[in-house]
Amino acid sequence: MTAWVNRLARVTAVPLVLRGIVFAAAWLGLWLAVPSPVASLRVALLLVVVALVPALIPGTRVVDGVMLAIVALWVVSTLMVGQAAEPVHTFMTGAALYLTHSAAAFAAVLPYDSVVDAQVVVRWAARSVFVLAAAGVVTAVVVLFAPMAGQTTSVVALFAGLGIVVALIALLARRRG
Amino acid sequence: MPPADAVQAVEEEQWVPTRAFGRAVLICGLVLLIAVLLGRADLVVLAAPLALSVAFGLGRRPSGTPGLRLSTVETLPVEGGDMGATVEVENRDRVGYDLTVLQVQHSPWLKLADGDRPHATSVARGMATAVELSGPAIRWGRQTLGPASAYAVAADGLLRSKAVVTGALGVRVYPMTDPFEADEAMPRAAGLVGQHRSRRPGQGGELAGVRQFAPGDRLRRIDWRVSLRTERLHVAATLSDRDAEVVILIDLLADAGRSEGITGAASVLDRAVRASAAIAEHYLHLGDRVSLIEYGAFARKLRPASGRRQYLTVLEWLLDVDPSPVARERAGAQLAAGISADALVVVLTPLLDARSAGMLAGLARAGRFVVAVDTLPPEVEPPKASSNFGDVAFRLWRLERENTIGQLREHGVPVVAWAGAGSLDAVLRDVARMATAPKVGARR
Repeated sequence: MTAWVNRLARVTAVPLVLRGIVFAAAWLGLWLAVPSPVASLRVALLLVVVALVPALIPGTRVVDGVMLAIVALWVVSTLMVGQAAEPVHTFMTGAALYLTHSAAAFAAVLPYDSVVDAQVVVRWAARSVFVLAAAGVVTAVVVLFAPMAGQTTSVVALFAGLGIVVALIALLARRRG
Repeated sequence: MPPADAVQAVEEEQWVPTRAFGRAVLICGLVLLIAVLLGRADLVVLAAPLALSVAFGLGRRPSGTPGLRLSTVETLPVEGGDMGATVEVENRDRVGYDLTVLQVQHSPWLKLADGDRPHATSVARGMATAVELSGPAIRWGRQTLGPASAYAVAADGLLRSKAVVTGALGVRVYPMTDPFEADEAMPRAAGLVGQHRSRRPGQGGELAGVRQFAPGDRLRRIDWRVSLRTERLHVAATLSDRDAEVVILIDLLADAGRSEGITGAASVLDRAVRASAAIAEHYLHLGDRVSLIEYGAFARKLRPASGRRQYLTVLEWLLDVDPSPVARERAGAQLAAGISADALVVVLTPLLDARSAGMLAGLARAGRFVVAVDTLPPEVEPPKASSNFGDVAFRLWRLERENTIGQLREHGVPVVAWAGAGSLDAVLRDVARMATAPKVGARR
């Protein structure tokens, strides 16, 4: 118990803020992905508890689980419940998904009691803004050009897309090794 | 020369993927797969920020390890004085590091500000960043600074370098000299001629300068050349040939008390070392010769010498002083054989071991001028015991110790508690008076 109190006393501001961002982003992502008919105060409070876990242990597979839950809830909302996928709503969920991942990755490598140079935070914030801006452009492109492609997906396009995904995964997996 | 592929493989091993890498691959792949399978553009939007961050991060990957260097400013700190250390991390890569986490291990007696915390800093490509740590060194001795370790994180937290570790550095922290002044009283000091001159003017052979003639000056000291030139009588002033030897004997048979550095409680060893430094500084400043002897297992000895160089040697010698209990230790007579008969022997002892009292008595019997300085801290407490007899036993031990001190005084060994300035004045006057008295059977 004393050891825990001592550890808490050593916590510094930047790692704490990062964990706060993990919590906020995870909660926002979950809340945006939850189907509208289910959304209530009780669910919101339940999501608070769920979002706290990756903030407390950002270096574990719990973060993977929460991010997969966001994706799963989104798929359920749009496919099964029939909720419309508004571009802004989708982009915000994607941004929350990314921020959960990025802040958790950062928090996992940063010891809770470290003295952090302000330059580190500025660099991380700038990169996040840049990534989200680029994702905003991609969103705009998709929103503009997706209706032109028509509602049906040809078999050729399906296999081409699958090929790209498999190639991307293979490339990443090879680099990882 | 190793093949290029082998070199590349070695370089790639320096950076390992983090758990975030696996997560990004898994979620990107999964969402894009579902998007393609179901033909859903909204899922592409959902995965876009994550996929873009992975693409940007892995677009340019680092290959080499960060360079790390630990250095200290060689200021030869004294206890309580500030010392500084610099940890420099260098990025020799073509990619900037998101952050570098570095940590320095060090002796608990070096109170470096935030020295016990990791430091995170970003390092741009081809640049080096230095983290400076400073703080007081609160206890004398050979302290260690380092090793320092660091790891870098790049590619938006997807890659982490293997840890780089430096070696440790030794930092010498010299003991603070307690303020110490003593009377000029010195047994067998005046009138002896030795290799070293004192700093006091007198009738010696060392020229100190030329000054105007004053009543009392001897005629043979008149400097006729200067007197003729200035048309006033001048005499050559000389330094006295005072040449006393002070032997500081440190009892290392036992240690007691808590050592909390310069700001807290002092143990027997701390008091002995600081007192030794102060006594040595005082007598060396007066031009006397000072030597040091350990009374313990190692029985180290520093040969007598004078001057500032000897003072620095004494400080260096004191850094290696360590309690060293030993089963059989030399008796006072054996020790006296290696000590000049005219030397003043200052014994720093806590009088915790009966052999220490025997040694003091033996030195006195051998005709040495001995002064015992009690280094037992007044605040020393008995160990906590479950029964009530602990306090009684401690009081009995205290009485027995006072009895021993009384017996030593009866045998002509003055015992004084170390109290800094003026500690030895009274006893030195007594010792000097005794030295002028005729001695019978004194061994030389």
